[in-house]
Amino acid sequence: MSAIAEMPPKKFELLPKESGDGELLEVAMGPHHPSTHGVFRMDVALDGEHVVKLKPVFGYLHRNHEKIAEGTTYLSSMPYTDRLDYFCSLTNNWAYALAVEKLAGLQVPERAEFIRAVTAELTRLQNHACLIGFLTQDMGASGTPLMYAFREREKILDLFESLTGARMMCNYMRFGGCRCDLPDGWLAQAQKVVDETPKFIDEFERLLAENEILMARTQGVGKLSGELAINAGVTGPILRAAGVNYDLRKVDKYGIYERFEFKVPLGDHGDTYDRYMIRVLEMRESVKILQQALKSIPDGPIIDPKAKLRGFRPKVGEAYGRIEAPKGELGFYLISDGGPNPYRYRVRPPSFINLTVLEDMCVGQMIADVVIILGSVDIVLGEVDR
Amino acid sequence: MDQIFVALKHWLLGQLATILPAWLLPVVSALMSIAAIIGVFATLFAIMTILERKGLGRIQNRYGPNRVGPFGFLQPAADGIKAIIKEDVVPRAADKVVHFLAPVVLVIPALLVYSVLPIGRNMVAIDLDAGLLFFFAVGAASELAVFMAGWSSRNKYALLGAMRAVAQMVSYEIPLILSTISVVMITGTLSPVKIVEAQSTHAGLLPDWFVFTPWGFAGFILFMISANAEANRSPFDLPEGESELVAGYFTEYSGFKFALFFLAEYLGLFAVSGLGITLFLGGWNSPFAALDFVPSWAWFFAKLLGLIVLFIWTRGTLPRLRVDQLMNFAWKFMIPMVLINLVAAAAWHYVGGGFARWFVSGAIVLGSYLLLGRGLFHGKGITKRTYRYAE
Amino acid sequence: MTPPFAVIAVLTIAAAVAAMTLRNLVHSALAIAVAFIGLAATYLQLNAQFVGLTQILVYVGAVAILIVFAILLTRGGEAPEKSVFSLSWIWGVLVTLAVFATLVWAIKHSFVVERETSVTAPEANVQQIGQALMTRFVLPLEVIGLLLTAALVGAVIIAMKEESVKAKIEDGRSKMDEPANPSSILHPPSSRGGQR
Repeated sequence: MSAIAEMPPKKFELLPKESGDGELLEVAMGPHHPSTHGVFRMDVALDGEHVVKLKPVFGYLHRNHEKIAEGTTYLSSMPYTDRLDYFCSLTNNWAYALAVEKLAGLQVPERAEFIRAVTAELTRLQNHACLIGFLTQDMGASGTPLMYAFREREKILDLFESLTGARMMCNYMRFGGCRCDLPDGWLAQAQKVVDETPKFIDEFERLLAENEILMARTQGVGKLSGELAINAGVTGPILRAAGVNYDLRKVDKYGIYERFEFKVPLGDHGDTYDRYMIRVLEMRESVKILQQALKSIPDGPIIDPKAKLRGFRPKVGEAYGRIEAPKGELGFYLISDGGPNPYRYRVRPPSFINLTVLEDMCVGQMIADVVIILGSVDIVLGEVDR
Repeated sequence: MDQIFVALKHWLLGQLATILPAWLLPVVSALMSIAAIIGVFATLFAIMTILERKGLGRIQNRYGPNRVGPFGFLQPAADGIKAIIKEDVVPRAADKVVHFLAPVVLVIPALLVYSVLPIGRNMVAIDLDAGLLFFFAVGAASELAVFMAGWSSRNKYALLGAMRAVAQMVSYEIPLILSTISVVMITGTLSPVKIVEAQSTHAGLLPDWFVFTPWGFAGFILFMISANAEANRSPFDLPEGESELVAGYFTEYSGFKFALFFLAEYLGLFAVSGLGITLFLGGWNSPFAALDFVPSWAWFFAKLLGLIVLFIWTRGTLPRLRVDQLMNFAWKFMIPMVLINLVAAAAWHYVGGGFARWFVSGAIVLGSYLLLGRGLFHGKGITKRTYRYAE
Repeated sequence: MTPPFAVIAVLTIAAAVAAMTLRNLVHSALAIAVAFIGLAATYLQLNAQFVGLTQILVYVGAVAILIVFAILLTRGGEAPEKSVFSLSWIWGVLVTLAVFATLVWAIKHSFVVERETSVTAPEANVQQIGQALMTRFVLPLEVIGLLLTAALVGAVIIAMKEESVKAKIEDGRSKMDEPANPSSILHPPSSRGGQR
């Protein structure tokens, strides 16, 4: 008999604890709950079906990412960043490459910048489409929108595959440029996918945006004020849904984003419906960027000739590189002591920091809302736990 | 052809009468009806599972099961074998007896209700005077079974699911029963057989089905919505809402007990659809006099299949409601609406023939629908939104 | 006494006894539901279809559920530690016997007993009951309807306390301390870990 089997059966308590004049039920949602988007756990105290207290518990997927990166060379960490937010490996690559380039003072050639922007926007498209699919799945839509989103994602993943050789773990960017040039015909293929996307977004919006059940489920649910969002360091679509105009593509103008014409959609209510709609609108803006970028990709080298892959030792110093990843501000903070591996390597994961406001959004809502609020925060546990 | 099964049963009984003592014959007759009901509807359950998975698959751009047998049609058999040979896990803290009894208690009423459903001409197991009452009385017992399942599992999700399920079933039972009352008022009987007979005539092109009257149409829609909620199907599948409560009241069930929950759920769905057909869609009557040569039971099952497709379609399309919205919908829309529908049915009866009663009855139904429907969303601030862009 | 009646009677009485003696309240509630069904079966056996089916609909479908909900929402359904037998039972038995004796006396002296029993039992079908309710007993029916509506409105008013949830959240926030270990958010972790 194992130790667990010998334990006496726990006494079942329906209403374990009292608070004030009412009795509370404590439910551990996760880590094996179907809608926590991975091995995430929320300890929820319920009054009836209303949430009184909520505690996010994470770390089930902790892989010691930062310490491992400190023990290995700069380049060997590049494939490991793929595993952070495994939905958007290309943006992870870019943020890390940006930090190292700042540290080593490398210049990225124009063609490589274009390729980076194109892949990043494609990543954003598929991430937002899937997020909306998951969100409606959490609302109980038996997977129909999710399957539609996956159909679209499939086309984009095919593009990634022909470009990088991998569908999800792309490992594509290098310090000072990209790993390989675009294959023949890739641009035409990408153009076709991008041209088809607005039709898909329209279809999605016709199906969902004005559905009464969806509106009733999401409007006014999980409100987040702009003030609290700023104080908590929330970034990305959640912040913009709360009405704060903060998009690193506009603020930092990293890469070549200042050359493209696009707008930043803002929400007025900060509720789940705004978070959903902001993503739909951002997808439309991404399509605009892609249309501009695909038409004007210049010829030229794809990597800085100064960049060397072997024996790479940046000079002593520190650098912080950040980009607007689909989920928010993704930053890498590096300290170099002149050696082949970073002295300190730190990831600023958007999912993790956005999760800190989860309790504020959920308290007072019902347990069914908790699930869709979590869905609308858009987390990937690989990034939260690292 | 129409009476083939009735004739078969009589012939069999006639043969048995020579061997068996007379007092045993009614028992044998009842057993034959029971076997027929279980056989037919369990097969329908198997067909429905494959149909649902295929249909959902098509709605969602995928194939659905297509590995077992031709086009995957042997999938239910594989699933059944899997359910039987799977380990039956009972939680340590569970109340073992109640945990075991719950699926059994759930299946019994689900099967019992079929005894009053006329599935063809002269094809009803018992022609009860108060058949409709029997249907709802026996159906009410399933709530207790759901509660037993949720409580005995000693699982918080199961308990929450059971509480939700019972609250939902109690709430939606009221509109379900009240929507049938309008039919009872017009026909003046509680017997399903007589209600079907009342709809067997043809008036002009359309048959005299109650769905082709203003109150009957509204009643049918209300009945089907309540039936959807009673059967815990999307968009009212909160008790087992996967994204919230894992699997609701049957979270802690596995193996064949789990399959029994499934069976009971689908049997309940068929039964309530069958009742809807009996009450509003003319039962086993054919839509046109010219089509009367088709056997009556074929019409019943054709209509049942149509309603099943409707259920699958709804499930593939709509997201789930929230608990408070579900209750709001029941108490603020469904119940007032069925009560007004009773008035509409009374108006239909008393205004007299011709256009006038269509107008009065239709106006009552439509007006109340518009008013109540508007009231449902009023003051909640649920609107379409426009978004601004930063420069 | 016919065999079916004997079976039903034994079942009903056994269930009723179980409802009294079982320690677990939910078990008792389930047992009483069985007793209700037995009672309904008795009615059906007496050819009183309407009463029998209404008995199931109302008592099993509504009253049993109500009892179960009341148990769940008040005491958590755990079994009491000590035996349910106690001295106060004697008084209970006395009262029961008194009531039973009164009933027996009333029935014995009722004029019904003296009537001819050989006449055929009156056929009461659903239609006749409906007609009686709508003609002879229409006033009592309406009065009961009014009473129930009033009760419903009263229940709604009691249940309509919108602010209570918000107040509870504020209250709960101020009273609950931050735990050292997140394995439980409401109370300090037990030595075994996990939730108690």
